[in-house]
Amino acid sequence: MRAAVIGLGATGARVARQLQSWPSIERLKLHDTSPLRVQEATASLGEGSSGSGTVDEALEGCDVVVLCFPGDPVPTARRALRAGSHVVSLSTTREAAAGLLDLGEMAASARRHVVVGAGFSPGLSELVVAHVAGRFERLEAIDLAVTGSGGMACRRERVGRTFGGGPAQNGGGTEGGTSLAATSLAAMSLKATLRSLVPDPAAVLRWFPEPLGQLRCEGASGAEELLLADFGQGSPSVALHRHLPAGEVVLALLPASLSSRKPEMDLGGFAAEVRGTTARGSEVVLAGAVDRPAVAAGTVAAVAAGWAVDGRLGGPWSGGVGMKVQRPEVFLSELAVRGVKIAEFLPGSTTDG
Amino acid sequence: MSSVTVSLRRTGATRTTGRLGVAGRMTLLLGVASVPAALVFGARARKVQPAPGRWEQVRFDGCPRDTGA
Repeated sequence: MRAAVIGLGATGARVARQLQSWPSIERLKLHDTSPLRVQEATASLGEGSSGSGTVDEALEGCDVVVLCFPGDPVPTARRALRAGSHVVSLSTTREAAAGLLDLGEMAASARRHVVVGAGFSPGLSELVVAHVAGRFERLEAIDLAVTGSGGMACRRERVGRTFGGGPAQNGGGTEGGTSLAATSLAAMSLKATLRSLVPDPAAVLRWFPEPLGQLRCEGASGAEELLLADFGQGSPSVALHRHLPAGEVVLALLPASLSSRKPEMDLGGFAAEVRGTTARGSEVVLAGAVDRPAVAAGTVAAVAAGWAVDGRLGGPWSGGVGMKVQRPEVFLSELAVRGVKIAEFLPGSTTDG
Repeated sequence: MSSVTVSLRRTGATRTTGRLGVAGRMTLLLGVASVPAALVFGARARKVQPAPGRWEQVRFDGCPRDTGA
């Protein structure tokens, strides 16, 4: 397998590490807007990996390319498909997912997969829903609550969307290249202050797997809404909630060099409440995961890339990983071997554990 | 703040201006402070206790790993 990773932030670096350990890897090309990051990554990964000065150079002669940068992935995905490569994207925004799903025809004619949102959430969350969806005759509703960020770029994008009404402005690179306009910074700070004084009355509590436990979440928008809507029979209604920890805005606004604690060091998680009907009547299943989002996302993306090249993906040519994997438990077992595990809430008499 | 001036309007009376005493100021202060407090405690009061149970790791021990999707 000849693979390329574009964007070497917290998540991209982990994707590269996972790909390097893929059994059939022959060559791994790395590209980032920051040459220093490329240098650090190649030095860390050692033999078998090489840096590429441009995106086109990275795409040349590749079987699969993994896109791990903030912003619009569609133009790069088009270039990768034209170059004859499968595409795995970790974009989390609804707009990016919609743009990638629209590449279905192009992907079909190239007979190449476009895997949309192959990260922690969407990605692992979608696989978990796909796994439990098999128990239902008909799915009625999926309520997904998410917390955590892959890296600084991911955190800034989420904070920007929550408090700035759109993605945080960035320099098109990963952590190092991100900057915020003074106006959006002021607007975000004001909104965040108001939010801390007057809690959103529409906020809901969601229970995440331990040790995260109960967290207050607010309504959010993301790629998950699109990717989960086609699950199972019955086109379930999809609700997405996100928990934004206190201080997240300040941390997102600080330059990377001033934040001592990187977001990828913190635990993230998701909890998916899936409602539907079974032979026994109406039922609810609660499943989720707790992990470092960048680590889990890197593993999901690398396994998706490996499966695309090995011809183990199906479903639509452009779609979420949950739609492309016909037996989610097989994919999940592959993730479990690599240390990414999921949990299910078992109703009973005890509340610990 | 040495005094708080308020305007009063009563039916059949002309506009009157008066001063709030200590009790009035305290009432005003508590009234203002109660708004965020009500929102905070109201949100907390809406908390629902989780159903009894526990999170358990899902195992895929018996799952074939090399058969593909």
